[in-house]
Amino acid sequence: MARLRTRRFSVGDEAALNDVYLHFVSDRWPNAARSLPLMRWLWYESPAGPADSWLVEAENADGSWRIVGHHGLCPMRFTLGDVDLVCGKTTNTFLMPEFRSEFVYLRFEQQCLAEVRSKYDITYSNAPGVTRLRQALGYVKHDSWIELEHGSARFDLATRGVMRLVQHRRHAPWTQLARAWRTIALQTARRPPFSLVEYSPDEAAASAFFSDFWPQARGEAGLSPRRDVADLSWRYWKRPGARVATLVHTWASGARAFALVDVAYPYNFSLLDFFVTPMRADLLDAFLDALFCWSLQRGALTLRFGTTASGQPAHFMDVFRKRMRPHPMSRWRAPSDFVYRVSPAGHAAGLKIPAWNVTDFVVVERPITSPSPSSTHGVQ
Amino acid sequence: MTDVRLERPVTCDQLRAFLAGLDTMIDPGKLRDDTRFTDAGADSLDFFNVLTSIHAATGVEIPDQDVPLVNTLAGLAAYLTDRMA
Repeated sequence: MARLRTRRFSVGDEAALNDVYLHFVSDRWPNAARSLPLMRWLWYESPAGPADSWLVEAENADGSWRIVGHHGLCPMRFTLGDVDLVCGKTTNTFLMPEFRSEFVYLRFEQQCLAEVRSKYDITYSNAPGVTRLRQALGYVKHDSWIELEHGSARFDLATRGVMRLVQHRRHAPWTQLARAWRTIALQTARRPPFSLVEYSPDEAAASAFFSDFWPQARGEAGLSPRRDVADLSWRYWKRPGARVATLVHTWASGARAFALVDVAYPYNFSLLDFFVTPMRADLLDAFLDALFCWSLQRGALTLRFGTTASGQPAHFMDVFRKRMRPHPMSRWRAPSDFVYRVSPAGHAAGLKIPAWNVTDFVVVERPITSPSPSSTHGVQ
Repeated sequence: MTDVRLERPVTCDQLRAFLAGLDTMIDPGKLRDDTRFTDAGADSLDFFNVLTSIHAATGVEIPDQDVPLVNTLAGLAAYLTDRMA
């Protein structure tokens, strides 16, 4: 029976932890892959500071130690009206199965939370199957994650079916079928009232559009990830390996909207984040028209979007449900719950949690360059 | 919470009765003396709840380094018998 110990992650532990993490998740997610630069991006480069990360180690016969478990919190900047918050997203939480009788994991996570009780206003988690465990630590369930997708204005079901066919058969004649179908879908798409402006990552970071976007929009956003240039740069534009298109539109009235779309997979794009200000349903509807058209023109058959059922204002969810459909497997998949815990610091500040404004932005560690962007890699 | 009291010497049957009163996924009736709790369906929360409830009922706190000694009924009974007043 190996001796166990816990310690804080320190610089230099990345390779060992990344190896163990990938080994742990490989049974469940065979395509799981994460480069060291990506891991370092996640651990060190958040505008809110480096991640808090704790290791569980077992002693080897030769006296050395190996990593057998981990708990992490990735700091994310959020806003709630005029208030700036630091929220911690649980990251790469795991304990190797053979040690679950030898180590009380929940007590370990409880101690981790106690160590950072002054740092985070809220910690949150989004993973299947962990609600019961985390509720014991004071987490409450906000909602469950939902995934929506859009194929085409007409023949939507068929378009989404063609995407699924070609998803696993990326060769002729399926790719030819996909291209032909895309042409049909484009012909039958609703004509948007405007076209979107697309920025490169560098252009977006330097643009006037984003320089003052969040200071103006944050007041109506509720509890929401902060979308200043620094946050969007870290999260999307400077993320190693990311292929993200940045699309914006400004109406004559001064209303503005942006969308960040993962374009790595040619037939199925993912809407990773968006914001429309003011938050009017008619503006969102028109923006989605333009976005769907843009996606088709860029070669995608479908566009997916993840949120929670209450993670958008009700009038926005009405628009999404009208324009998009649930993922076909959603009925049979175990839901990923979205749970959160207000820290002692948050309680001391009198923090009252309204509805969360949720997109893939908040699931910071989820890989976004994979054929199945709807899958989560790694326990969270 | 359970109403079962644990008294020295603590036996496996006492512990089965104690566990039956807790809200866990463990089926005490199927737990042999030497079966690890996690092999009997306990998850992290169940194990945590067992140790927390034991502490509340007996005053015996089980530190991390002793957890491997108490992950069966027999181990837990012997441990508590040694340490309960």
